[in-house]
Amino acid sequence: MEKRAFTYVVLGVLVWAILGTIVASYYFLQYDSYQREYKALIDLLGSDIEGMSNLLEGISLEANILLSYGNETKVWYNNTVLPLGSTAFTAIYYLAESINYTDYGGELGILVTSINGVADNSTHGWLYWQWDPQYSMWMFPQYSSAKYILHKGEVIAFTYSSYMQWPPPAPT
Amino acid sequence: MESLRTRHVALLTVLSALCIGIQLTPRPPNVEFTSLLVFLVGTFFGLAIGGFLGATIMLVNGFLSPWGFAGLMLPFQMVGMFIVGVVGGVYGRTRRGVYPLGSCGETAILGCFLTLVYDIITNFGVAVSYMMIGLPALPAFVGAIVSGAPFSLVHVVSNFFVFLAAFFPLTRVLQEYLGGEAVWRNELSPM
Repeated sequence: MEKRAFTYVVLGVLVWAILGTIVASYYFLQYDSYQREYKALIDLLGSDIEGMSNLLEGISLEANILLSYGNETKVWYNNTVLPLGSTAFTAIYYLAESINYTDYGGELGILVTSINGVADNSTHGWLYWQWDPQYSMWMFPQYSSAKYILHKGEVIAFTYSSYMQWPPPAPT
Repeated sequence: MESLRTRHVALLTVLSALCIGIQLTPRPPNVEFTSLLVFLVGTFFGLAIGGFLGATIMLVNGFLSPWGFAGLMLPFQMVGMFIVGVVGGVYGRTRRGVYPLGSCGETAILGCFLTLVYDIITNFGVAVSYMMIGLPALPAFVGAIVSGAPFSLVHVVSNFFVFLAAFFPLTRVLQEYLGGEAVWRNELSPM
């Protein structure tokens, strides 16, 4: 190999070696740092079960959710744990085995069109309800389930109902 | 030192203005064209002017940079870019105005190397600031180098491609502007 070319190859390899060493050191230190933080967190949580429980409670909520298929088939999902800030839509999204929906965006939000294979048609569709403990009755929020933010201990229902009767019959 | 012709002074002025203009333009961190232009000026006008331009550009940049006042880093940045200009001058002397297509690879590797040297020098500036708050010298230097690794990587790799892509066409254009490679060899190499 020509001497000049050899010199530049060596120079290139030198740059690669130095840079590679620096970057490897950087990632090693990052790895070490994150591992220490992880261990500290595990130690903290392991020594304080009550603290961990409080932490999880602080960032989640429990809700009772009824899924009514309109043919007397009803399924309750009691004490369902959801992330804080979940909406009625996100609750059914996580619970349903299959779900279809249309996102109209903006103020209109999301409309659920099918749950577990039961789809909207010209006479029937999926509606959702919220249980009002003060009046002990089901309330019918007439806006998107994606806009309805759940609270701790809340009870909601998704029902497959006929449009022929309005307001539709409340869940029973 | 020979006196420069008017055309050379005009060219140096334009390159200097371009250099400082690009250096002060907001851009992705550590992607820069100053090294290339300073190196080019070094190859063309000699190591004294190349080194002087590099140091001056970083002096101006230190005060007017969109990232803020360079502070303690300023002298280290000046030294780093001074070296780029000087090495450009040395490279110009060894090449004596002949820059074939194959020199792209050479300059790309030189660009990488000089960028790494620049980064090590400026990181030493960071290490000095660590030392001033009581950290021992070696941990301070290693810490500064290692913590700046992602930035160095971007800097070195980007300069590899900048030098690879731009040095050869720029030398062609400048040679044509000044009347062929003989100009480089005969008129400017004494500096």
